[in-house]
Amino acid sequence: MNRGHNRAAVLEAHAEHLPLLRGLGRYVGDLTLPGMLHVAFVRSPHAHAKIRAIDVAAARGCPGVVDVLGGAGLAERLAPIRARLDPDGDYDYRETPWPAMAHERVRYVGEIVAAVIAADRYKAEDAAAAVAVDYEPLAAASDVAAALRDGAPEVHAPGGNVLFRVRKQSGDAGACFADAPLRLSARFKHPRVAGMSMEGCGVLARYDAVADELVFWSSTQIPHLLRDGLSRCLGMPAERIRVIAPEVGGAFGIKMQLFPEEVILAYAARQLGRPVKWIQDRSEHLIASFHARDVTVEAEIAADGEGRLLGLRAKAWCDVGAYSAFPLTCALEPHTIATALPGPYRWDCFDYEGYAVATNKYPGGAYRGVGFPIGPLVTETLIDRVARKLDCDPIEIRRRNLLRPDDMPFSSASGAVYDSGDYPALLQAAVDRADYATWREEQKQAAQAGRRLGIGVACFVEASGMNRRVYRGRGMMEIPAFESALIRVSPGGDIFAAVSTPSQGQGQRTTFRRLLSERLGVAPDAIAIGLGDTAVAPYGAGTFGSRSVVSGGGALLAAAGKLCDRLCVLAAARWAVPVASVAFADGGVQEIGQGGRRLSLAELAGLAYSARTDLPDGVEPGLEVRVAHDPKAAPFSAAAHLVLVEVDPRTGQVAIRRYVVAEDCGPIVNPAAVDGQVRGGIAQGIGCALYEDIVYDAEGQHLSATLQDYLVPGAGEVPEIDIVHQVTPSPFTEGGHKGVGESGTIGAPAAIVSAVMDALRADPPRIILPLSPQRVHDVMEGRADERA
Amino acid sequence: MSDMRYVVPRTLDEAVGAFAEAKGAARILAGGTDLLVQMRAGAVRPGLVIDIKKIAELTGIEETADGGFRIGGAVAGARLAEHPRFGKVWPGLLEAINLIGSTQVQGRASAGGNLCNGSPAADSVPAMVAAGAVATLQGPKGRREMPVEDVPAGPGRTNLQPGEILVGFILPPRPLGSGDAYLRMIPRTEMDIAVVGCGVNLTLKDGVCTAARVGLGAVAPTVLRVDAAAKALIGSRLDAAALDAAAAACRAACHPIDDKRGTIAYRTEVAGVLLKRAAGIAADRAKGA
Repeated sequence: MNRGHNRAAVLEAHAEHLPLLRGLGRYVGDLTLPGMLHVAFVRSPHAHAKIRAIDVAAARGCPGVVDVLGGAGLAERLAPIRARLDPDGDYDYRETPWPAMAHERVRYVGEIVAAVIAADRYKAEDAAAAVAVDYEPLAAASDVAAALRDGAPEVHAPGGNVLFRVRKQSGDAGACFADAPLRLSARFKHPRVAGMSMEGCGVLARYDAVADELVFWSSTQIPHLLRDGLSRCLGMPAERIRVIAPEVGGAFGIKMQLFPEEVILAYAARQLGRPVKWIQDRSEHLIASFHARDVTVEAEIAADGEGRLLGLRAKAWCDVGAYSAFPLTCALEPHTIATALPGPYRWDCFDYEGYAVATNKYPGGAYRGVGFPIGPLVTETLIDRVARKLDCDPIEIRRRNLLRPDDMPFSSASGAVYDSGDYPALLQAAVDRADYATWREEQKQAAQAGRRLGIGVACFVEASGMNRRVYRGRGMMEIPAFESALIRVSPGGDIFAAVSTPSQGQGQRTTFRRLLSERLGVAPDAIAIGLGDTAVAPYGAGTFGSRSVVSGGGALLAAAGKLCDRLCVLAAARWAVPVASVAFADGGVQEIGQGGRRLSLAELAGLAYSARTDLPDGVEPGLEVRVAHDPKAAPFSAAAHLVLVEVDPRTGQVAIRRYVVAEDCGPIVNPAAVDGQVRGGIAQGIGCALYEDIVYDAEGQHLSATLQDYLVPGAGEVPEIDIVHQVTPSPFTEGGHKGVGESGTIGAPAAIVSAVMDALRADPPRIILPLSPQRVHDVMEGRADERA
Repeated sequence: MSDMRYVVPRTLDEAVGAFAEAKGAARILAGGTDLLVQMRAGAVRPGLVIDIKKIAELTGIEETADGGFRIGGAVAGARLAEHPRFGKVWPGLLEAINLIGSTQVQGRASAGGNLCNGSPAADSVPAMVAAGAVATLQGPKGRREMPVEDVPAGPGRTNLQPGEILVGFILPPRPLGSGDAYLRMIPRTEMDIAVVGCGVNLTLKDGVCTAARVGLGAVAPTVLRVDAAAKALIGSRLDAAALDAAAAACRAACHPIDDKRGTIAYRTEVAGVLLKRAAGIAADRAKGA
């Protein structure tokens, strides 16, 4: 672990994590206010039903109950959660307004029909059990097949269950495939999964009658967007809502959507004039937090006889549950799969159709990687098949096809711009670190002893720090897509920096402190960082899509540049010399030339604040700068994964023996954070590949409501991961950085599937994740999975 | 749950008296690793909880003069693991008991609770069955003994009479050349509910299997004792044909459910695989390897 760093560096890198490990962090669950009440929700046991009546009288009479919310009254006072797409975009989209509390119809198991507010959670739960709801059950659309069948139950009648459709084409797929010497196809199913953050969701809401302000603590990734969403649902001015994300214990995308619970808590706090709190339990987290993926893909690849890739066509059906979530909408998954599919390769033709299909399940949202894990899962699996067909080594076929540095910047088959990178060198770095030839030798020897080893490879790119152009292209008008930073220097020269991308445990404070300390030439300790509070941090979209360093850090670097400019103006005025004859260096401004004068940051700050200073024209007193930043382009990081697995030839159980990653996210600010992101991402990718599956039955009942049913990888399932770094700066971002927060999750499922199929020497018509022992056994026996 | 009572009897008679008197409204608490979870989930709402951990006979581990063992029904897995002799004599059974839950759970969970919980997938039960363990029960009508395989009646149910408490287990003395093993199939490396579990206990003399018992879990409504598999092993040198026959007997004994943890076909197939592997480990142990 932490190869190449000494102990002091490791401690510095984890300076903000040590107090968290010692239990000193304050999460929403740790916060208490005088007079605080607790909320428990009554949730639908039906996947699809009409609500005939809700009787809350008995619940109101329970001990400790202060109020019970439910029924039609609330619907009139709360606008539904709306998630809009640009109406002029090149796609079809149907909006599905989502009431925070259902009163006419429930559309998924776990949908909120009432909320009990009581003196403590126990009393609230007991009273919730006393709420009587009269349901008239309706037939449910429990998956994509059921939702698209003739006469399928309509989740939002009328108009069918397809909520979103997009097509992306380049080149002439018809001709390309007709003439291709080699065409291979497969069907893929990625399960419905969800990020299992250590901390579930939580809210504490307090209405301040004096200031007419709602103070809203939430375990959110998107403080400003959450504020705007609440404002819309409550009809309350956004600037009267202050959202604070305290320490957040992991999020992974789940907490970047507006939850119905958040709307109800905000309403209740204002209505009752007392603080209200809700801490999600693990079962609620599994049943009623944003799920993700749940994608079926049919794909075909075309190649020539030398293994040169020619064309890729695919259709993806994304099971997005009952509603579009704010702010991303149900277009999220089908849109992103289009970006992800071409990978680090050139295609003469590309033809993709993506659908978002409504079902009676919890709504889909973001989860680390969004759409990107599907890309290599499909593309790399098909490339392996071409290699096997041509008896070509899987590394060699990739070498022949990977884009090269002189192709950059490259416009991909689905229209994304890859800014930089050396993909062949990256693959070679992984091959060298693994000593690929010895893996193959080991595989051969094991085979002679009746053991089945398999070697998997996945090459892929990751879109990060997505800018306004990307979201405009997707029509996602609810996402502002820029980030902001402010830097304030006190009269004594102490530095405070606030950035709009808060932390959920990734170590942003350390990373931003380092970034700024290196830029300004001051000690990291001299910098205070403010995050996660809309009253403190400037406006921004928040932390998601691997954007903290690229967009948030970019804003911080741009603000630092602006600060340096201001300091130069102040110094030049002080010395009565032209600005061109001074420069910022090492924590102060230096007069250029032999024996030049120097003013430290603290001295300059003193000047900026002092009434005695004669400020130059146009320079405001004090020392504070603020920048909103939109990176010139969304940088693409890249990686190559190599994995060695062993498959039990009798039970089908897969064990990961070795794992090597070569990654390129540009210059690394905080090596411990980057390695941590890669490792944690791979752990979650292993979960998707081998274990995790949110199962609903044919009636839409949720069968995975505990961690005994939803299997996440533990320490025993995650191997030691060997990471090699390569640095190719992006020409389009402030520090040349590229995001790496999702990299591991994107590559791991593809690499593991590649390894298992290599072990089995099998190309089954259907690849169904997770590759449970039983599914692998079925592949060995040549049995198709009946549940595909 | 507000009117729940909790008692901590010091003697078995006290416990049996309270249990019988409650007429089905009481639950026995040993480690509580099943009961408390069920209570939290609202699956059971006992009016009375009887904590048996303060009763000496239920928490003791005794190696008897003939080389057998008596284990109290409430002995925690971690305590068995710490016992200087038990794991040497019954390595397979100890492994099975130590597979119940996590390290933390091991500090509480007992084999007695595992058996009385009535789960067909209970890890310690197939190994107990293979070991030939006998359960000691005490109720209002006195004390009796029952082979472990006769205790489960179905998922979540046992053949204990009303008011009867599982006092402990009697393990028979081991002939020279004996070995046991327990293997289970789970998706991950730990902490999962068994898809299939298989316990094998056997004795070898001059390379020939002279005695064998086989227990199978998670493939039927109760843990099974598979005599046909044992018969296939006895008299053989555990050669491929004998192992194939025993595996086939295990598969024939399976009548599992089809659920998200495993299909009928898969569970049945794997039952045979585990039999062969567990028999191999038990044989190695019997040979002192």
